[in-house]
Amino acid sequence: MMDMLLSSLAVLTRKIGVALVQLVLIATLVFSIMYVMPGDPVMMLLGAESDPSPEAVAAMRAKLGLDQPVAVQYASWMTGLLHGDFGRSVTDGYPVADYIAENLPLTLELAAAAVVVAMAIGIPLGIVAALRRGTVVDSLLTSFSTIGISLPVYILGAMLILLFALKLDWLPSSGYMNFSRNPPEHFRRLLLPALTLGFGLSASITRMTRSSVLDILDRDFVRTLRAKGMRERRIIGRHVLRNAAIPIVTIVGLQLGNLMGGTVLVEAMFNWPGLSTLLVEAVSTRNYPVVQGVILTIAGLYIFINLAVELVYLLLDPRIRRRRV
Amino acid sequence: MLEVQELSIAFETPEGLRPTVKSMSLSVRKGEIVGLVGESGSGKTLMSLGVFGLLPKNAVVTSGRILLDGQDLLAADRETLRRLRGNRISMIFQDPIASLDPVFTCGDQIVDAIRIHEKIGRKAARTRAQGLLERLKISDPARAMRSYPHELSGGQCQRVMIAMAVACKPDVIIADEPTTALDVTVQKQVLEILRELNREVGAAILLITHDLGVIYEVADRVVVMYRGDKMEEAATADLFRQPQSAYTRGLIAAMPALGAGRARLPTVGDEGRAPARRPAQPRATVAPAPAAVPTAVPPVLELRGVSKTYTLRAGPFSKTVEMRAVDDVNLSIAPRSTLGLVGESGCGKSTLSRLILQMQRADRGQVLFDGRDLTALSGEALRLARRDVAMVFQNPYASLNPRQCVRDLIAAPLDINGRGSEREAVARRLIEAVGLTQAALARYPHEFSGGQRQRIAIARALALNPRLLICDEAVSALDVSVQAQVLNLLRDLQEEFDLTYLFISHDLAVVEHVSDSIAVMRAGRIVEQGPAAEIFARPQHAYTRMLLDAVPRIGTPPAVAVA
Repeated sequence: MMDMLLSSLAVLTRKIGVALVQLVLIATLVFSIMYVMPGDPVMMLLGAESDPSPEAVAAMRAKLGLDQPVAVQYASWMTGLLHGDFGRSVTDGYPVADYIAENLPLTLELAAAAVVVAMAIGIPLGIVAALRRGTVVDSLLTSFSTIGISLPVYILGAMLILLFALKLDWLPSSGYMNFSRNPPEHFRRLLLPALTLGFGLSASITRMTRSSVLDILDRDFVRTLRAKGMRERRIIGRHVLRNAAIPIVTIVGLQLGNLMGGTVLVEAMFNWPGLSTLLVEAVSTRNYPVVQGVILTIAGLYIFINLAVELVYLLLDPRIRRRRV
Repeated sequence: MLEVQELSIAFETPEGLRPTVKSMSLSVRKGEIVGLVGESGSGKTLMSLGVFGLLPKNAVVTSGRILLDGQDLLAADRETLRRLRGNRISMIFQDPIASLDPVFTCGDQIVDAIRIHEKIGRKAARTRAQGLLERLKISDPARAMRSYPHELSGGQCQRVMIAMAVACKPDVIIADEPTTALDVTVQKQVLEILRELNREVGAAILLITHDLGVIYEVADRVVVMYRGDKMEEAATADLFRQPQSAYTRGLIAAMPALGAGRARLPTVGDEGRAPARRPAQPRATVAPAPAAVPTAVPPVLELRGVSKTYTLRAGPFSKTVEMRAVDDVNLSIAPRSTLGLVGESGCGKSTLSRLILQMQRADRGQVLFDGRDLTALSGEALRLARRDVAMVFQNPYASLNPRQCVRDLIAAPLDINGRGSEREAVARRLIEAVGLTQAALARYPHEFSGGQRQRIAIARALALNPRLLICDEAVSALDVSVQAQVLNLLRDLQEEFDLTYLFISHDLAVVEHVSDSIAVMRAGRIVEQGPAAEIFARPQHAYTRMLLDAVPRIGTPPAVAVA
């Protein structure tokens, strides 16, 4: 027990260290985008075919800081990052950090909504599959989750738009509504993209919940609870589920990274003004500082989420949690 | 109070119904403790689950009635049954730690047990729960209420289980092997608690166990079960005085009873098991040197001042606490003799065995094997030295690789040591030596019973012709009759292979049965050691006396007073 606690603490410390190293590496990689991309970014920005004047090229070069030695550029890029300075957008000169601050919450909201939807679908279905093990219901749910895992978001999204927006006309097909202006409409517009994004995760959760619940149902203490005369509903809802939660949290945690990747397509499909939309826009306008800032933010999020999952483990299981004296 | 009439339970298998409990009848009256005895697989647990309506999905009741105060439980609907469970009938299970929900505190679990059946507030229920724990003499009840099951010992968890079981003052309590997982001293306390409850609450108790000693201590009547059939039923005193069935007689005889010395154990004849080995030569021809008496023969193993300390921390920022798992241990074992190492769980016996094998290094002291200090060795030299020491572990189900056939299992030590060419000959010789047939070599562990698996584990341990065999609770997981067979086998092998044993066990009767000398261990220290006969006849240390007193003895007045 103590060994476990100590080793889990050691693991955690190591993970934090690894996360920091990863962040530095990613920042370095992102910095080098400017140099590994084919062609001169300045010429690409100004448009080589328009034959820009040497003064304009020099001005752009100075604006991007490209006239300095590489080492100096790297140092100022890193110190900037430490101060939350991601540089300025090439097109309008606004700080990249402002763009990110504006778009990041929307992406986070979408991802969070997707997780909520996924758990709301996956956990009940998983429990039902476990309790109806070996029946038609179980096989149906298992096939559903296989389909769910293998269905790409763009196909699912298109199908959902077709069904709910075009055929049934229940929900808007795309767009965003500011919460403060019209709260119900905000959530109506959130629903389809969240469902599209969370569907695959819900399938994974269904599976994990099923096997985890089956495992717990076999434990001796469940027999004790029944022998106490506890209602089956309460045994499942309170005791089995809480014990089964750890593998489910693992799945959600591992899949969150993939979820962030999925936002690129989903945001584009539903015209959701999040980070990914910003990224796509910046790529097409060759707005390098914005591209760099967004990539760095997404990577940082990914690392942070994985770290957070480790922490949740410690909280969930009293056997790992600090011993009460 | 509780009456089981002609109950039959069968398992559904692809080949059809396999009857497991056959037309069992028994009754438990108010204020009575009835013991139900049988070995693993005899159907006793299945029957008790049948009473609760908690049979596994693939088991069905094929006939019979279960009456609780005249009400047929088998005819009752699920909701009625649920209301009875934990309220009028309750159950205590074998493994108390696994039987409690690991993520809820013990207090909450007792409170739940009360509030399921009674409409009282959470606070009142807590007070009552804590009162129950106080009555059960748990140390620091308030702390036990706040603790999670893994933070308590087995005995404390069993008290929590008992508190849950008696919380609603049930009419019938079924206790399924309530003390099997516990140390003898704790077992004694738990049995006393059951006795008292029986007297105070007047509940009828059905005590299921494989341990006749436990039955002798507390039961008023006994029902003996064998392979689903009732063999006999009698008042406890009568059963032990005049067992009627041959099976019961065999079962009583197979028990290694304290005070019996090193006699060969009679075994229960059973056509399903391995053929009995030829009778060995009488023990007297060997005449081992008693370890405590200095003799000309140098000891095989000698420990000098061996210590091992673990440092623990209660939390990431708490102070470190030193725990002396093994504290200044001196021991020696003469060639061809057996040293029995006794102690309760957590006393450091297993750590000591790991220190001998150098799987863990001692902080201080010497481990002399044939006069050579193993603690000074490392790498290849240590590996070679280790070949002379082998180990047999407690759990024969977990210690054999399920994917290897018996031939490969036995020959594995040879393969590792580059003697693969001998594997066939050695495997054939050893499988016979442990009383199995050649045909067993091609089979896999799951095809064997627990006792047979332990024989395989012993054969593997002998593969390299070791001088010292460490048996760490090697028979603790086995039924009484099988245990007797394996103990006899170990004795025969000692003569045949010139073995020296370090026999680690918590079971005093077993240890007395096999040992020439005894060492009693408590909290990392050897509190007493000497020739077996002397220790059992005249224990010097208070702890040894306490251990001896706690063992249920047949033929002496029960240590737990009968009302």
